[in-house]
Amino acid sequence: MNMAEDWQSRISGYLDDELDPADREAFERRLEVDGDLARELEALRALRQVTGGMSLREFPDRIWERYWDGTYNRLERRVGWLLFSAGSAVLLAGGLYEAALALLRDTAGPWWIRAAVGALCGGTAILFVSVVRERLFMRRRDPYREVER
Amino acid sequence: MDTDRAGVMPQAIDEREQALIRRCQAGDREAFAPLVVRYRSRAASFALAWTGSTEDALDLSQEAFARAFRAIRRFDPARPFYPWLHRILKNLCLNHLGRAFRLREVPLIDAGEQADDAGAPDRGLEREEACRQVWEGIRRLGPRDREILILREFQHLTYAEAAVVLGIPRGTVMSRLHQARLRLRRELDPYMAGARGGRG
Repeated sequence: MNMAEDWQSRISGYLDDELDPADREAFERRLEVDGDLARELEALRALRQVTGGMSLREFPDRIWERYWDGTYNRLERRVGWLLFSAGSAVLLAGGLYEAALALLRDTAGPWWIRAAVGALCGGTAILFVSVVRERLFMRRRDPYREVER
Repeated sequence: MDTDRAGVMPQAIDEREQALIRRCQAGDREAFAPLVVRYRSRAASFALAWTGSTEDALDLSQEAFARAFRAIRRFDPARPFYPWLHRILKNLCLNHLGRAFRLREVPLIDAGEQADDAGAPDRGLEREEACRQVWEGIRRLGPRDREILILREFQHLTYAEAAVVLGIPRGTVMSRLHQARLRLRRELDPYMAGARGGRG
């Protein structure tokens, strides 16, 4: 950071009364000789006049009455969803496997249906392995992996 | 139980908070309730400023708390809780905006707005328009600028508090805030010039 930028970055500290007394005094001395700095201070002071009295809307009290319940439900439902998803995935995969096996074993059926089912199973397996591999590969190289999502 | 305003000092790590976190780490969900009560207003307000929707703000802040609880075993109780929650919430807000932006309300109010509404309706409308313009300007900024402006201008954190929440040195807060204000100033130039012209 050069000297000019250093002074400029103190403008906000000055406006917010966040400079220590020595820095504040030095800044005020600098203002007397640096027209650009004084102009930038005035520009930001004008902005402060617009934003100065603003704050975020407060939530009405009634909202908080059910807030913890909502959060708690999320904690419980997470376990429910995990179990539901795991159970569904096992049943679906098992059902599809059995159905595919039954079709492939049914020698009386048309050959092209068995070929199509075989291709479908093979394709699904390849896609599954490919997606898992991509995820693992990305996970190792993701620069944002430490960020909570 | 602590009030919402107790969450104004995020860097203050009290022993009670540490004890609650340790109980949460042992699987006690009820111990999480006082932490939620302490920081809910602050978290929901931040999400409201980010999304402009009360419904989304409540949804995202609750989800942030839920995710924090699920990951709390990895959290070091010697560190302040809110900055960690803030990072989870910010990422949820970023992901949310990546999916859809539903502009429903301006989350800002001007302190003088209500007083003016009673006395001079025109002045009240002016302030309402100013809030809308400022928020539109903030929405057009990048996430980093938006975050620091919300924390400082509208949640009124000191530089030291913002430094703890953002995990950056106090000096960086000052320079980052300065750059964000300059960019906001540029975004608001047309409005501010118009307002000056209108008054002149």
